[in-house]
Amino acid sequence: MANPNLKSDLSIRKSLTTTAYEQLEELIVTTELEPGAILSEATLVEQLGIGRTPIREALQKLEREGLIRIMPRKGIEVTDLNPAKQLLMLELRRDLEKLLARSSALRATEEERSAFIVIADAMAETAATRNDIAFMRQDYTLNQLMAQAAHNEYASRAIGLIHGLARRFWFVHFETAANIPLCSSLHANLAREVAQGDPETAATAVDTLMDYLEEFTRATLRAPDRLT
Amino acid sequence: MDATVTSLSQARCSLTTLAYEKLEELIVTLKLKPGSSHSENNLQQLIGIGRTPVREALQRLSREGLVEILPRKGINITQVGYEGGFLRVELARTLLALMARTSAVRATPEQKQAFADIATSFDKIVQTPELGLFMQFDKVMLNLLCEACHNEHVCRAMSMLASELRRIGYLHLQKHDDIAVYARIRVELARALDRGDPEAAETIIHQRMDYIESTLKGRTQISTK
Repeated sequence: MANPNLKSDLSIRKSLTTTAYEQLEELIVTTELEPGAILSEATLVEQLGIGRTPIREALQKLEREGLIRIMPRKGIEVTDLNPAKQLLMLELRRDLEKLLARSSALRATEEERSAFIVIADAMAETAATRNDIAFMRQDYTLNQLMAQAAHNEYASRAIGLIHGLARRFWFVHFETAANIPLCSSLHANLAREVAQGDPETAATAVDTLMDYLEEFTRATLRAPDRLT
Repeated sequence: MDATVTSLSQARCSLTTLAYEKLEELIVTLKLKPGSSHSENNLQQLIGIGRTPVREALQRLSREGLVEILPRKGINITQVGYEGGFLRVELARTLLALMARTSAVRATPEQKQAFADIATSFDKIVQTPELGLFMQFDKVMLNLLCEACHNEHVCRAMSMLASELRRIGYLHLQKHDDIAVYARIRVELARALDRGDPEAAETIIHQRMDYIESTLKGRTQISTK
């Protein structure tokens, strides 16, 4: 308790946990660590060059996000890419996104509304150019903006729990199953409706987008995997 | 992995859950008072569980906003989060409505029977209000909903805010005599789930959330007088 170094030790550990989390999340979302793979804590400690406690804390966060499963006797399993489970995630995502869109439409500040317009214009351009990298960046920005403009920290945290799963599924399947122009224009439409400030049309825009994402998820059952 | 390490880590996992449940119960029912400070040692002795599981349980409680971990100083039980109350209820409404709607459709026959049983338990509380029992059944009901909706993602999101809402509910019920109202809402919800009626189940959730919002508003009006 009296150790003067303890506080700085703790803040270093905190940032190590964040670093470990960010690196592992990236490796899982981009499937460098493949779905279904079994990992050991010791191997991760060695590979990332980060100590056991931060790694363990990062793994607990990833487990809450559904990206891994910690199995007491067998190690750590990267969760599989199961379309049925993905549809359950979308079921939650639809209702959370509607809550965020309604709240954002009602509560966004003037600056936030302008930012929604900017992202809507950018998404509309992406729909024309079919630039998938640009789409992923804009999608990330729109997610952040929506989580902020809803002014409900609890709802933002709840949707943060499923973003990793959503991004991983997209990363694996977008080349074979996604319609980037359609998806971009649906996002553009949502951003514009939120900026307009009518909660019901904003919620309808979410429904249309989620209908598409469900269709995309089902289409992956028919399309071949990008990875072999 | 060697066998001793394995069984140790398994035992720790369930001890963490046990420590979490015991501490959560003590905080939600105000036996650990809002604003009070404790040492990790104290809490270990209080519930009779060791350092590592207690520490992991405290991390989870800290994420849920029930404790604040102060390096070098100990553990603070947070003040009740009334200022976030409406935003919590806003999210809880969305999550519970989804859980109720999907549980009504997906509950297994065993789960339906469990809903019928809990309806009977809550009905007894309507007749003879008892706060301690109500809180216990309320927890059972929430766990049942989590299983019956068959959607782990929703449960994980709900677990982030359920405890603080339970603490706010406990505080309210301590001061008002509407336990029977709370219990009756749960009887109706459990019965709707037992007979598999998604619309009715969702409607009851909205009534329940409207009622909680009205108690929060009442509280705000009193405190600004």
